[in-house]
Amino acid sequence: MGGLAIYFEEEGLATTQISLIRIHTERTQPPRALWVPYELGRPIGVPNDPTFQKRVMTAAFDLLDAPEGPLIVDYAEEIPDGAGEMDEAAMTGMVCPIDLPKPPDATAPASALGKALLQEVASLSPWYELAVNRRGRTTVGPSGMTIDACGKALAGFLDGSAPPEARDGMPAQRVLKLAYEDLKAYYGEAITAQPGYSTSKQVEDWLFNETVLGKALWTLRDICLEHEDEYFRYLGTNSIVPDRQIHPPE
Amino acid sequence: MVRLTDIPAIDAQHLLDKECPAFEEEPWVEGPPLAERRVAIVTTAGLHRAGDRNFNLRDVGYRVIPGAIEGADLVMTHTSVNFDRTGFQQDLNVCFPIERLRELAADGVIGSVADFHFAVSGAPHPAELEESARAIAAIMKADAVDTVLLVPI
Repeated sequence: MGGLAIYFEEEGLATTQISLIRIHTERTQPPRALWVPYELGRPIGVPNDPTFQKRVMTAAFDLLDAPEGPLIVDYAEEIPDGAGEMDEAAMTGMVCPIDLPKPPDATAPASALGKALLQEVASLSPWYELAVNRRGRTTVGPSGMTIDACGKALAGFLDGSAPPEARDGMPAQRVLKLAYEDLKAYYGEAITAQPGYSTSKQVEDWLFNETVLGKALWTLRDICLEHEDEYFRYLGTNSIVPDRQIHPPE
Repeated sequence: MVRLTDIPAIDAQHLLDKECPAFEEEPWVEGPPLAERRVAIVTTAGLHRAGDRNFNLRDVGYRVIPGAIEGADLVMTHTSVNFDRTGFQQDLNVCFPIERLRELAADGVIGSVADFHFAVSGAPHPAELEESARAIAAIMKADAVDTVLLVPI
């Protein structure tokens, strides 16, 4: 990020930036940076809080008045407790979260996992549709497949019955990656439409430890780590399960 | 929170090990008062319009995001799984604050919003993004932009 700022300034454009990894900004020394104490993925702080967001942006723009630099300014405003939780009005009419199908046990064949995954996807659809209606958008879709097709692609890879194939100039590994990322997004949008899932860690813990999809993704990771193909091994190492699930903080 | 003490040791070490080149030059561009500035956003979140090419693993290109973009038209194909996406799923502005920028312009805090904004995928080494950065700068200058807000992911 800091490198981009320097290139833009060299081209005659003034820059100000948000910094998430302070040590990287200290090394690169861009002209103006506002370090914020927010998690990766949320540089402006709190979803659905325009006032909070504008305070962050205004602080970043204030750096343009500084007489000289480079400078890194620490932004002090922390995320308030409970931020991101839905208010009472938004929850009106909601019922208790649905029960998801129980994941197959460890001895079940991979085909059972695929069948359970498709059932789980279907059971989440009311919540996903609620989320889309409320937000007016969805982030599901980069795979170009329906969500059922994404589930079948993942299931087909796990049991070997119908692994994804290369298409549109993308290798099969990329098609598989986009399919399971669409599934993750579908689950994330659905669960955050329910009460009680206000933090990314809550959503992640649920997805990777309580759902059939989570079980499928852990299984996929194991398969990819042992795969003969380098791209699949890369996916297994870096691009399926987040590090904080693999190495939870003590 | 991105304090190194708050994340798994393996991720903290990865961040510490990541190469962040120091630049010899310290360019410093000033500009008009904020209320007269034309602002563009550049994000490293791997965002793009739904119909655009996905960002692939070692993509050093950029994608153009029209200033009038609606949130429903944007998706994310950044490769990393080690940052939160649920914030983006709930509210685009938490990582690409285009609606807030429009409001700041409407309130007269900034002068105007650029016609074009830009996204790269933040994974590559900074030097690998130089060509894209200079191409983006040329477009921004043609759009009369004088100020860039850079937003990481």
